[in-house]
Amino acid sequence: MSILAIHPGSYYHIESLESDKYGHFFDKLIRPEELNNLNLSDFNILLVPCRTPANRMLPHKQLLLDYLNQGGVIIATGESHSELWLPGVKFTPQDTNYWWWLEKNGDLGVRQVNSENNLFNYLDEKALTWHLHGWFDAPDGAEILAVNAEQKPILYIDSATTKGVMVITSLDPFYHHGSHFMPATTKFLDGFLPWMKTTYDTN
Amino acid sequence: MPNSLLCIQSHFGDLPMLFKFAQQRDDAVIISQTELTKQHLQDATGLITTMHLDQLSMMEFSSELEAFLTRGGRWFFNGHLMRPLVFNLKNYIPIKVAGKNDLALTALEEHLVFNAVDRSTLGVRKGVAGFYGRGYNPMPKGATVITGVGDDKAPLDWYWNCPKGGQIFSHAGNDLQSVAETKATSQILAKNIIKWVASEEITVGEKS
Repeated sequence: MSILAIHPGSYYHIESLESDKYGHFFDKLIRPEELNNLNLSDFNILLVPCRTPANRMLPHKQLLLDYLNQGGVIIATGESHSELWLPGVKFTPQDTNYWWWLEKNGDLGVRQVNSENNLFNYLDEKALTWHLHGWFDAPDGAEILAVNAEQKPILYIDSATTKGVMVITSLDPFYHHGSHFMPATTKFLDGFLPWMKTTYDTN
Repeated sequence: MPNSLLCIQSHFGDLPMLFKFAQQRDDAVIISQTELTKQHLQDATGLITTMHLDQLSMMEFSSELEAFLTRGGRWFFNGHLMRPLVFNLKNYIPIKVAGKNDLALTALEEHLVFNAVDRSTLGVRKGVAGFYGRGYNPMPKGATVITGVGDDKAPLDWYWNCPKGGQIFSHAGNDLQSVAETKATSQILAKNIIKWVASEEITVGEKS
């Protein structure tokens, strides 16, 4: 069993998914248009990176739901409009303050919650903090891992909506790491990807 | 449409302001990249691609892109080149950034794209540097650097008169019209980009 990642082909996807630094986490990269050519149940995890165009995922909505209901794990990072192609995702955009750290006593307000979750053995609050694009109404039963300044979820695990698992975040680390911009995003992936593999690529 | 100004949208969502301006032209063809065909490139005389370009898909059109340039086409390329889309161009190289000064921009050459733009204002937004660019697409032989970044003035912006015809303007950063602090400057940049791609004269000092 293994990890499958969607490869939408933008420069930041190429840098993040193909590079020596992180490429080894992914057993197979696949174009969104080729998802139907695979048996998704061959994979423990399907990762959909930041800024995957939703119009390229929407045709596979049922396929993704079927995969989840077979016990699959889907991880979707920010700016991919996962609310349009995954079940139970309710997203609200927010204005992006990218200069907060230049303000007096600047604090973006991101906080980790459920600190006992194993994720926080791999990364800390600083690695969650660069800027925000929006927040979620997490479904009942979801485990919220991080919130914005208004205590709204920005990262959660949903094992309740389907028979599988969805790890959903509005953070966009692949985009910024792949753009060589914002070092916190690299710290995030340094922890998140090993956590993903250890936690969900288990048989 | 023959002799068209082809704008390829690669992201999901609204048209960027640049493409909304282009949309006002009779010769503009604005399409989602998923709908791109060889015919679109065969018909085009100008091309704008964004930082979100699916370069894996675009590689399938490499021959048509080279033919488009050889016919005299102009291509405004935004972003980091990570595939040799035409003429064996080389992959993007990030510069080493230890501080804000490493991202300082130097205007090295005039270009119509920057007509009526104070280029000294383009390096920061809300005091944050880096949106404009943090590296460069290596220049092919014969290209001219327009904007340098860092102490070494690495070629963040360059244009190239391709040997067999056509021109490429490479901007190795976020979409150029999006990096300005003010909406007015963004609009000037957008209009200048369209005029350059459409091979229209821009009078020096003209207010776009």
